[in-house]
Amino acid sequence: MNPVLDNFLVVTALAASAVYALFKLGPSALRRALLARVANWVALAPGWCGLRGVAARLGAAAVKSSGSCGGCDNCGSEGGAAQASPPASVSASASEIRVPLASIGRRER
Amino acid sequence: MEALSGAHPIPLVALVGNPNCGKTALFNVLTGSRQKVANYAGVTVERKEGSLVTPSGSRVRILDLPGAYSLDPLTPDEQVTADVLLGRRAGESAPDFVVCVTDATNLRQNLRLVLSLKRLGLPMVVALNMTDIARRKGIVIDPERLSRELGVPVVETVGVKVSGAKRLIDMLDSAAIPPRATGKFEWRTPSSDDIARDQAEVRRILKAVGADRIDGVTFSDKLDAVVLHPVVGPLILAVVLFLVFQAVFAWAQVPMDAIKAGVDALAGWLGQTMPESLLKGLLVNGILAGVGSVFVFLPQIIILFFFILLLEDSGYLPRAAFLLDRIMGSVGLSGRAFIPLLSSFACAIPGIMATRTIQNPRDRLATIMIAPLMTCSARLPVYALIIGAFIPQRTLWGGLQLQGMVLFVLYLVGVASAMAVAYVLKRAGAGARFQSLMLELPAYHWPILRNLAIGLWQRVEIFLSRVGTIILALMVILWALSSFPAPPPGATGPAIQYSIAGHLGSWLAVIFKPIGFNWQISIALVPGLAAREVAVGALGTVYALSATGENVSGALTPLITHSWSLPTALSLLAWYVFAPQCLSTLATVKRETNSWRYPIIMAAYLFALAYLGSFITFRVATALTNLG
Repeated sequence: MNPVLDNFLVVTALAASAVYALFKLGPSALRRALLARVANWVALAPGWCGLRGVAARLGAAAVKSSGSCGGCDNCGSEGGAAQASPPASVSASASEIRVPLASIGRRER
Repeated sequence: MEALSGAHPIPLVALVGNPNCGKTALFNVLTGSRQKVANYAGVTVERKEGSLVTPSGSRVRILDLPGAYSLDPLTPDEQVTADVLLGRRAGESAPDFVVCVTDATNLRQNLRLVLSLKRLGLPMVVALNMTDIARRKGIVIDPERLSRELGVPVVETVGVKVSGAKRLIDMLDSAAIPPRATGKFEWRTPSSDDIARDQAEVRRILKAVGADRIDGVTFSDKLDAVVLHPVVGPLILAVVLFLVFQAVFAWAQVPMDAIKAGVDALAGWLGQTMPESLLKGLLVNGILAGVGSVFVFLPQIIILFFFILLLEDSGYLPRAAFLLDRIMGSVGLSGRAFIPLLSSFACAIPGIMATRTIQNPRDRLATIMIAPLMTCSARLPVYALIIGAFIPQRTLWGGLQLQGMVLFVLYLVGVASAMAVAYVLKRAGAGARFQSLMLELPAYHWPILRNLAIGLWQRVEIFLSRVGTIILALMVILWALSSFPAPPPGATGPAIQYSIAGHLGSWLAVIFKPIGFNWQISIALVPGLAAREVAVGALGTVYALSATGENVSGALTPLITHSWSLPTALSLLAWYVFAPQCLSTLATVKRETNSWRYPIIMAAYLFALAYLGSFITFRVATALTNLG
């Protein structure tokens, strides 16, 4: 095999792995920012590229990723998930449940 | 769709009902999703949304809400349901339509929520679910009569059958449902008089529809007389769990050997056909050695989850919670903590989320803090690797496997440590005082094959996607860190010793030397922080690169058998019983407690426990080995 092609494949695999690991294991804010940035870049593409749908999906994913816990995907709660398609009016935090411990109390009679 | 035109551009239909009445099964049928279902209360703790296209082509959004006994929430999961229905959730208005799912075999309890929802004023239909089981029990309810008595439409459904929701879909598609009134829905906490009135109304309706018969001794009651017996019950539980762990080793050997042979053959073929190059090193020593070492444990994970799903679907698990209530109460936990802790055997993340079903905040916090001590499935490859390498494949009395027994003991150690930590938390004032357990025990039923198959497939999917994504990515990075920079001219040791990872391993080995870890183990612990099973892949890569000469991608077990002492292996097992090596778990704790305080405390105490546990294990094992 050509050594140049060999090295190119190794460097590509390494770069892709590093970006993926950073994306999956990094903080959710980073993930959100990355997705939003990529969505903006894709949206700038000329109309004939037909990438508007991709940009919209990336934008939606950027909003959805705010609910991520760190991205291990191990819990199965996202596995085979239903089509989580919050309406445009729903804020990012609405798809996530935040119940502070202190606010969980007994029923008041 | 005329009928469901409401506040939302696409009508929003909420599935509401008591816990364990089959809402999620119905949701899966309506939306084609594969959300987790099981035969116990509290499986769904957050809202799930999907969509349904009706036969006339209209699109409807379907919302699956956590089970609730009333609109007056006691637990965080019930709070979610009440907030959604009352339109209190930020950025989300109340649903346009409610499908109140009821268990036809337990209408007496379910109708109280129906009456509450009716008072709320949202357009509603009652789905009389599990009618197939009800008929088998001799309970026949006329939906039309029930509809007249309740004053709302009633349809029969069977949530576990694909065709079981046809009538409901037809109703959602029809124009018979009035649009909901606009504005806020007011709810006031019912007084004791209101509750008494509701109970009287439930009795009247049951009598009118001929469902007021109270069953005598059922099959479940007869079985419970044995399963819940104070002496026999715990024995049965211990035997069931013991046999599960026996099966994990006894049944998995053949498929594991087949996978191992496949990985070896592929590595051998690549080694022979490819010329020496960086790409060959990456493929053989990085990807195959690393990813192959983890992939080989797939059969054991499938077997473990097969049994867990079987127990879940049969209705046995809530009984186990009941049996363990006394023990859990003695360390400051309630029996309600059992289900979250049991979920943690799959992964601590759903376990921690399942603590939302716990009413008392201190009890909930104590359960969150001990959940990572339950042996999650990511630990299984680590345990299986070390057990396979150091525990002989010996059969003891009665055909019991020694390896299976050791695995069982490791799981027990995890549980015992969790109980000990809960006791300490109780003494320190962070745990809850003993509270009596009120838990609904569902009727036993034969596990549904479809549920089993879906559950198993999801576990396989999750495992394979982890192996093919994050584990693969980390192995590629580790290979690069272990291969560069290249050794200086005239170097005699393996190349990895001169690499970045080699240097890092040498520094870390200073910290881990007192607990018996060598530099290879020390390196593997770092990527293992992402997820525990990554450590196995990392060991595969590190040892493949540490070896000189022939390709060793498929031979991690004999390699560690020769390079580790027994005390080191036991010390690493002890490390993995305690260490919180999963960043996602800590992130989930932060999210669930809304504070960084608890994940930091959790990480600190678990690392301290891991180091102490490994230190004691290593020292004691070394002393015993020397004596021997």
